[in-house]
Order: sequence, then structure tokens, then C-alpha cells
Amino acid sequence: MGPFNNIAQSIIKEQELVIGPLAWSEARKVSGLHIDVQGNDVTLEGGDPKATIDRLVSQYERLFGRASQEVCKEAAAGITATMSRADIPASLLT
Amino acid sequence: MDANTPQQAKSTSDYEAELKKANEIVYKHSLELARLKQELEVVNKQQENLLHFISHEIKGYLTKSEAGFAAIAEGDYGSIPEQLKTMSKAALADVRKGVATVMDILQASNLKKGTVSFKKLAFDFRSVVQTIIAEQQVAAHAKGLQLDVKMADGKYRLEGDEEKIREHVIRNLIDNAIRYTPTGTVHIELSDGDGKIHFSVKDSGVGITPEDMANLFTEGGHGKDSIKINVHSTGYGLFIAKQVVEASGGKIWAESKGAGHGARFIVEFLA
Repeated sequence: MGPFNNIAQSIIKEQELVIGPLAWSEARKVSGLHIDVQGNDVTLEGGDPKATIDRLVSQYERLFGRASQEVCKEAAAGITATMSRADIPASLLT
Repeated sequence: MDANTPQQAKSTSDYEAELKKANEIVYKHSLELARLKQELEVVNKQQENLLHFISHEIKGYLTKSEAGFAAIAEGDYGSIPEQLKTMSKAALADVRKGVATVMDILQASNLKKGTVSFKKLAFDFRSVVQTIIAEQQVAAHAKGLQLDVKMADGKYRLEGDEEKIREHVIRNLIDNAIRYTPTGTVHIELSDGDGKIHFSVKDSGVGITPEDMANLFTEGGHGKDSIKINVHSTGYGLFIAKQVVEASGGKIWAESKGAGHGARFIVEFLA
């Protein structure tokens, strides 16, 4: 789950810069994602990690449109650059 | 549209679509602001580093000049003509002012960076105030000002950074009062009570307007007209004083009834 936890964390933190605490409350609605309320620590629960990331991206995209998806891609770019294309969630493919 | 044509009621999905559009617009603006904020932070950081670098370099050159003029003025190179001696002393005084200015800017920059360390050692606050008053008598006398000092009996033991409190707080406040008071008296009071040390400097000088009061303790925040009286003001003195006082667990504030009504600066430390 290593890179996927980091991807989720990076996406939420980047969204937080734009929309503030709403980024965390929206992330909490995503199934398969566990967010520690105290430290805002993000971990992916079981299941398909790529699908969980896609749901997270979609959660923002549904509310804020295409621009928010681009922000997610940029936020994860540093991590996805080290992954094989097959391992990258579809919503983050460029 | 014909005015008689009945308007169709919007469905929930129409409202949702409008809401999403509005959300997207707000999001794009927020994104733009977030990016500008990031850029601004980078530029601020670069500017701060540049300011620090320049100040540090200039300080180096000024310090060398200071040593040179001091050596000439003090006769290290043997006997010199009286005219040269006078010139060297004047140059030395100017260079020292330059060093003090650069040190203020550097100190403010370091305080902002959080790279200033503060000692926490016990010292006698009253004795430090007395020393500064004795030193400032010359400047006050030269301007024809009186220093009226009232010190109540008490224990003035304070834990903190003696040198920083002496130079940036006590000396700075008394020096400012002398500078900004054309005639009259500067009142200096020291008392203790309720577990606190109260130190105040009151002048009958140019006073502080409400607009200037808002910026008084901010970086570079000298008053609109204060520059006319003290052309060498960097605007960092009170900013540094506030940082030093607060780092020592104290409070500093100013009171003034406005322009032309003088000002009172009050410092409170927990004893």
C-alpha cells in the first residue's frame, strides 16, 4: 500500500491548500480510505488501492470539476513518476 | 421569450448542475490564489535571503572601516594632524551608525527566520536601566532635555537575555524618546508589583497618530512623519524590541493621544 498511502496523502494535502479543511471532510467520505482524525494520517484499507485513489479523485472532481483532477495529478506526479504505468490509477494517468 | 410563456420550473438536476458550475468557478479562483500564495512565499523567502546576504556583506566592510578609523583616531599610526583626527572621529561615528543600522536589519531578519537564540539568565533589571540612563544623559543634555527618573524600591530580578533587553528594549526606548522630543522632559519610570516589572518611557515629543500606532511594532513600521525627525530610522527598532520582549515572556505597547501629544511606551515583564 506504500505508494498509494502517499498518493492519497499528497492529494488531500494539495487539495487542502486550495479548499481548506473541506479537503479532509470530503476525503472521509471515500470508501476504502481511513483518515486518522487526530493527525490527519491517511491509510488505504483493504481492496483495490487504485480504485480507492480513483474514488478519491472522483470525489473532488464531482464537486469541483476538471481543475481539481489536474490538481490531484500534479500532487501525485512526484510519486507516480516512479511507478510503472500499469500501477498508476486511471484518474492520475496523463 | 414571450412574456406570457410560462417559465418551466427547474429540476433538482438543473440546480445541481448550476451548483457544480459555481463550485468549479470558486475552485478555480481558490486554486489561482493558492498558487499565487505559493509564489509569493518563494519570492518573500528569496528577498529575505538576499537582504540577509547583503546586510551581512555590508556589515563586514563597515566593520573593517570602523577598525581603520578607530586606529587612526586613537593614534595607532602615531601622531596625526588635528584636522585628520577630527575627520577620523566623525567618520568613525558615521561608520558606527552604519553598523548599528545594518545590525538592526540583520537582527530583524534573523528574528523572522527564527535563528536568534535567547539566553535565560538572572540579572538586575534596575541596574541595567540605571546604566543606560547614565549613558543617555549626554545625548539628552546635548538636546537640552531633562531625564526625569522615578524608580520604586523593589526586587528587579529578571530572567532573560540581558544584552538583548538592554540594547533593543531599554536603550532603544530611551533613545527614541530623546530623538523624538524636541524640548521638555523624558520621564522614565520603573516599578514592580503583582509579580511584574513595569518599565515605561514617556516623552513630550511628536506623538503617534492612530494610523501610525497600527504599524508601530511591525517590521519597517516607522511613523509617517517620524522619518522627518529621524532620517536614519530603519523602522526595525520597535519591531525588534517587541520580538525580544515577547520572547522573554513580556508585553510591550504604546499609548499616545495623537500627533503632537507625546507618547508613552510601556514594557511589562513577569518578575
